[in-house]
Amino acid sequence: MRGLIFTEFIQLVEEKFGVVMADDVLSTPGLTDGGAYTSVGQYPHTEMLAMVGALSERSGIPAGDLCKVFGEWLFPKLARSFEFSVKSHRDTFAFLSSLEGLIHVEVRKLYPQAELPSVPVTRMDDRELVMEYRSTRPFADVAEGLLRGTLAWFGERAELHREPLDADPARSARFRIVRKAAAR
Amino acid sequence: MTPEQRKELDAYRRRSERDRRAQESAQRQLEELSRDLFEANERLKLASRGRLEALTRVGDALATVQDLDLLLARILGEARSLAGAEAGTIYVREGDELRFAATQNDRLAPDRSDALAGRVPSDHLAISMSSIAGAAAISGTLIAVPDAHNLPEKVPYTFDRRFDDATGYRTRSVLAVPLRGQGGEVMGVLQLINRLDPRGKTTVDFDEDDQMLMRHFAGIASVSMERARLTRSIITRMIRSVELRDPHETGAHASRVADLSVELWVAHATANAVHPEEIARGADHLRIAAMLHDIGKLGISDAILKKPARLTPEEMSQVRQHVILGIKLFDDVQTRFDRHARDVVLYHHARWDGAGYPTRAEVQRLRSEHPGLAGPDIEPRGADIPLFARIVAIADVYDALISPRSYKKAWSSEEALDAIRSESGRHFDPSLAELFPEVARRIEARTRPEAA
Repeated sequence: MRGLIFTEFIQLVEEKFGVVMADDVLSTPGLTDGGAYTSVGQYPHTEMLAMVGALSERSGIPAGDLCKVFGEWLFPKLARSFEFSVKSHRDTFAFLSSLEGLIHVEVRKLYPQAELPSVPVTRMDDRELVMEYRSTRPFADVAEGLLRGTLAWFGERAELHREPLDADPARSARFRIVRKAAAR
Repeated sequence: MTPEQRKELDAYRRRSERDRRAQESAQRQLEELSRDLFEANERLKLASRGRLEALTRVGDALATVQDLDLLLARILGEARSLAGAEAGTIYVREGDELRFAATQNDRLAPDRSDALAGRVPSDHLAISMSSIAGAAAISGTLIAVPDAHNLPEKVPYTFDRRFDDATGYRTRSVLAVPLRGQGGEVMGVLQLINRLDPRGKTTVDFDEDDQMLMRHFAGIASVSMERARLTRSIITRMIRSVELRDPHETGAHASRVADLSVELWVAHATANAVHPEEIARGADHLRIAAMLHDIGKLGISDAILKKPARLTPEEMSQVRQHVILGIKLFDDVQTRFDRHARDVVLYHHARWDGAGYPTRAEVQRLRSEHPGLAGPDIEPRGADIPLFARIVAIADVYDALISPRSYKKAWSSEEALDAIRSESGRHFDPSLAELFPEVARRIEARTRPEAA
């Protein structure tokens, strides 16, 4: 998993819960180099799960909710880092439709070893889009947060419905986005 | 300081310690990345320069090949070596079908492509979606697949597995490139199979660089193909015009004589350690010259050529004139090819023992009548007869013997080979006559797959 995700997560913890909580989370045993993550590094995703678990235990907030918040918070940061990839699309639907065919293709060129989730998109009509998320890692909650973050970034009002897809609800989900008003 | 404040201070201390370590490690990773990038860039520069040079070299080499069949084999060989492919096929479009024009496979036939003859299940392929090459011909676009036996579900074409089933070969990565003419029409398909990693151990995909390279290569190859096709069609028309006059001199006879001659040349040249480049160039010239060996019959009257009965001595002497008439087509000898063609046309009826024609006197008379026309001033006997003419002499006689004529049945190849053997040192060059039986058998195996 890209180090950028780790550094952003720590950033969020520090912002929302303070430096002591961040320090506690980073003191979770087994983290690479005692939690001295860099955005250009590459780390096992299990360390992210361990940190989310530690944060949940200390804060009393369910891990799933933390993941959703993190996803929503993460999107604008990623959008800033990969501005062109996002800005070249006029709305959420256009952006999500290009995710698999364009953006993930570019990511694979840069990071051939990246294990990307599969996110095929179906445009039902002008108002409704369905995305089927499948990953080898249990981050469906983060994905949900990222989708909310995407809608917010484009300034769109829509309902986000989540339905189970495969047996493992953490590794798969069917997201349905229904726009509240006609597009722009 | 309250315990909370102390805790916070400790947290800040540890955080700055982590930041310092992270910074150091980021620095290291960036240095590694930049080193990797630099090395990758250098490798790329080298590789692309090497490939560009190779491409230019190939373009020059292909431009010198005249004969279509030899050209196709050469194109396939060069494409395989540029892309590092273990095997490959060139298909030529004939109406709604693709014909296997050349097939090479280093695993099944490491020494020569002939070993594959007779193992190809069919020498034609419908232009349809039931093969990768067919799909490339229909779409007119390049198709690359990582594993032919496990095509993605969404592709509209299938893999024709008959060759693999018949030979036990396992096709994995495939790159099919359409060969287009100047008008954009698909003339054929170049298909490369199983790209090997540089160590030759495992099969890898044809990557984007290979695809780009082969797109350029296909452009160069198509131009040479069109040129060679034009040459071939001009020659075919010349042969057909002879065929119109003399029903015995068919295009089939001409191309069998050409096949036999080229094979005999290769056997002779290989036995004499001739450089492979020279062998290839000689084969190219000889093939066309051999096809044209009887072109002078255009100048012989119908009454004689189509006479159903035995010819009178006077008529025979007129037929013998065809070797003299033929070289008038080569009166502006400029290139090595022209010289070879003239030698073959003029001397393919010369005999090793000197009893053939034309005689030295006839050639000298020709030269006095048409200065600048005739060939070398030689006694047409033994090793003075140009080698290519000695080669075509054997091929021509052999094919005439195994073909039916109005006045005789076709001889069996063994009977014909006996005749060649018994004329060794009389009609034919003994060293060539000795090599010939093996050559004839090889050609026969190639043209009659069921006998292989």
